[in-house]
Amino acid sequence: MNSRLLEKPLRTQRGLKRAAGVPGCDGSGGSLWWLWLLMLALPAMGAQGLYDFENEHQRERFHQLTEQLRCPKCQNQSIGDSDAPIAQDMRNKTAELIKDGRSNEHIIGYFTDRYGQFVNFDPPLKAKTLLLWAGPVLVFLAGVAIVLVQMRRALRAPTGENE
Amino acid sequence: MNRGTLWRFVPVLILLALALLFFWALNRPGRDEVPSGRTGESIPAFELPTLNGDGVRTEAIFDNHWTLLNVWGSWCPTCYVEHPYLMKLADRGVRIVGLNYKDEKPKAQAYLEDGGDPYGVTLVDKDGDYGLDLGVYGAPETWVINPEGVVKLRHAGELNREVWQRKIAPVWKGDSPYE
Repeated sequence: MNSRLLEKPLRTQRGLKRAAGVPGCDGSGGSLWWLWLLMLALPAMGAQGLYDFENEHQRERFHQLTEQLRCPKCQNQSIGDSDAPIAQDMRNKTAELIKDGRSNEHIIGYFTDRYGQFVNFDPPLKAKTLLLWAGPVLVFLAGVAIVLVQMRRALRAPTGENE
Repeated sequence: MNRGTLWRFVPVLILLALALLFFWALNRPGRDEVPSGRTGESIPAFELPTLNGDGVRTEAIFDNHWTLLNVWGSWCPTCYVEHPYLMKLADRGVRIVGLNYKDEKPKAQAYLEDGGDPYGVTLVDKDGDYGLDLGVYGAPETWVINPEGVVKLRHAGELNREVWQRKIAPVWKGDSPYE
């Protein structure tokens, strides 16, 4: 399957040369047929096209879940982005579980049971992840506090309190 | 120095503290390791054929022994690198069960004929289905399983003496290969 995909562009190139009137070719343009075939093939290359979902809703859930699940092998990619074999396996499993009628929570749970919260790009709010969620708020409040302190000092400064 | 001047150094100190924190966090060993969700749990049930074709085995294979479950494949370059070390461990009495992962039987058999067979039993997971159930994400991986069949640790990547000392030895309560 892969080798066939690789062959096509090569043939198309040859076809283009022929159509452009490269010496020794008939210039009939008949080989451009391959170009059309290639264009038809493009929508089928998206990973989601490989799965036979019952409806658009399932396809959307698949898209969303494969974006939310992190590939354990290529750690900064989602399983939707990664070409690693394990990402492929995880995509297959995700599609299988969707078609079995499992909920998103069940599917995320399936993978976090096996690979830990590590594979969830959207970690739930728990005691262990509290800092992750509260951190930005705390940093913001600290910033506000610093600004307020500075302002009060600046207001007091002209009275000559500042040495 | 008065209080106002001291205050001026606070941002610098915070910056230094953060730099130290990040430096430590980015350099600590095992930073890239993916924790296994199976740690502390019983290894998932299975019924897998053996590479030598003498039937099937279940998770009962782990009963009553400290065992390493080593995930490997003849397609995996790092497996060749760690293989001599596995031979050495087996030679010193460490019980190793192999999980031949997504491989072809003739190639897997040739691999063991060439490099020696450190595995008492090699289970075959042709399509990686059991691997996915366990939480394997590549090869090689080495799992420490206790005599109750509970997963104590997963190490992804090459197993060698350094890894044994740093990661395996602290959880391994079986006979040590280094005495």
